[in-house]
Amino acid sequence: MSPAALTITEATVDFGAGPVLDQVSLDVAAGEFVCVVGASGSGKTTLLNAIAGLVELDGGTVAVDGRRVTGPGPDRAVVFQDDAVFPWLSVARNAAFGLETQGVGKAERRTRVTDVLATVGLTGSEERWPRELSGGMRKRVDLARALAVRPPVLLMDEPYGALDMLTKERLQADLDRIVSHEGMTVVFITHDLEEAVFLADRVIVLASHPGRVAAEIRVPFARPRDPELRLTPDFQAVRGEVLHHLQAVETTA
Amino acid sequence: MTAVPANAAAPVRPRRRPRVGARRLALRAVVPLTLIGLWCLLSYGGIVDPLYLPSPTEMWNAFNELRADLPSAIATTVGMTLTGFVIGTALGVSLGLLMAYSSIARDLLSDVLDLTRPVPVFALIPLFLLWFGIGRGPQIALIALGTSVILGVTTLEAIRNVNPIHVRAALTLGASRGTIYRRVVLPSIFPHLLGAIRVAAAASWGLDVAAELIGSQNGLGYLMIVRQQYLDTAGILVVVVVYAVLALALDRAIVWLERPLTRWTHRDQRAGVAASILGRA
Repeated sequence: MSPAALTITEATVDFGAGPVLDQVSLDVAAGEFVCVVGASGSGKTTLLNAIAGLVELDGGTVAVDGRRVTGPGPDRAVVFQDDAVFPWLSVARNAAFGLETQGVGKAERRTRVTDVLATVGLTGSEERWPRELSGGMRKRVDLARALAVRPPVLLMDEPYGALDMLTKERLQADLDRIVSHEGMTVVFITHDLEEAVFLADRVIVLASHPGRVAAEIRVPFARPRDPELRLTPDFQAVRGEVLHHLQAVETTA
Repeated sequence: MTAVPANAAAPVRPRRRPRVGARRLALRAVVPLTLIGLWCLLSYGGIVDPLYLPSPTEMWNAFNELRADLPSAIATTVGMTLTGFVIGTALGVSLGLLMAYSSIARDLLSDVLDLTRPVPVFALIPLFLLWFGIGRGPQIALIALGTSVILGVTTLEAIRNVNPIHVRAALTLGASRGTIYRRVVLPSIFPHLLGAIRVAAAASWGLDVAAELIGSQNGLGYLMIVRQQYLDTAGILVVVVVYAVLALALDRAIVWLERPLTRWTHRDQRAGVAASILGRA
């Protein structure tokens, strides 16, 4: 797995009531972590689904390393907002799902599942059923399942939106550590500005109705990031800048 | 009184809340015992004609009279019902899966199924007689038809209720359509199917009775017709009891067989406020 570059060119999506995304163009460099923020209705999730290949474009293209996206595939694994863990599979079998569909051999599968569960902090829970896990742990299973296929691009759609603050911060720190270590390209959707600034190399602000790129803010902090970073004036300054752009977009909308 | 669990040393998991056992047992015995008492009173007391309600003694005698005929009748009936039930279940589930999988199959079959589904299977008995004649074949076909309708409809409905997020997750992990059906759809619908399979199993005994009434030379239903001709109410009731035991046994067997397959759905949190309201204590 080496990170891939993502190129979105004038992507337009229209479900029939006017465009949800209007000619959105966005380049994400290989290994870059991009967070997309915007009010609800700004087409954040549609953008992510378009990259994932779950939504068809009405115009424009999405390409991974120059290859045009025509449908969903394991080169762009997704961690969804809703709980997408398969409840009928144990934690280990969940993590192995993508490897099985890819025809990865049993021995290789076992090592990779062991590794990925260790990465997300689920060692020891291999044989548990999802119903026995907390919401935060189930999100770790989701992440493990996506990471196991070693995707060049990882897509995350408000994955931690439903979690309590402490769990959320722990998962964010873990994700930062994993990304720093593995060096993958990530597109992360959120409406939580602090989350966006803590995780991203670059924050994209989407304007709503129709969704379009309104601003982008570079986040200059080195990785891995200390959770205490949130308390620094530099961090709050970047957060303020993102907020400022978001407010500007919402008042003109 | 001090409530010390018997295995106080072991980590005690909050399972079923142990209500006062004796009281619950007594409560559960009230209705059955009353019914039995009423039965004895009405029959032994001579209040009701034995033609309508034979006494326990008369039933025991009838059972002894039928003893010689029962094994072969049971074998015939069980063989026929199970064959019809298994064929019908397989057919219904396959049809449901096929219709969910292929839009061509859906276009071909869905209108026919929607139109014929409300037709009571029993109404087809005269036609079956006319078309297929008397014999095991048409009887099994009737049972299979009845069960396949139940399962076909449930399967299709259950597939429609599969959580789309699971399908999307599988898609983004590179699963093909076939893989999604095998690894996502089937396990998702299984718990729902199970309920339908139990309903179909229960219905298949009723279908068997009807099938045997349309003309058979052996079996429990046939035995029942014969006893009816002798005005042997006790004998009929004995056969009814045999049917009940068989149906119960099949139901228990299905539950027992599915247990390892649905372990992921079982909940430990039986106790609690919701359970007490939902009557699951």
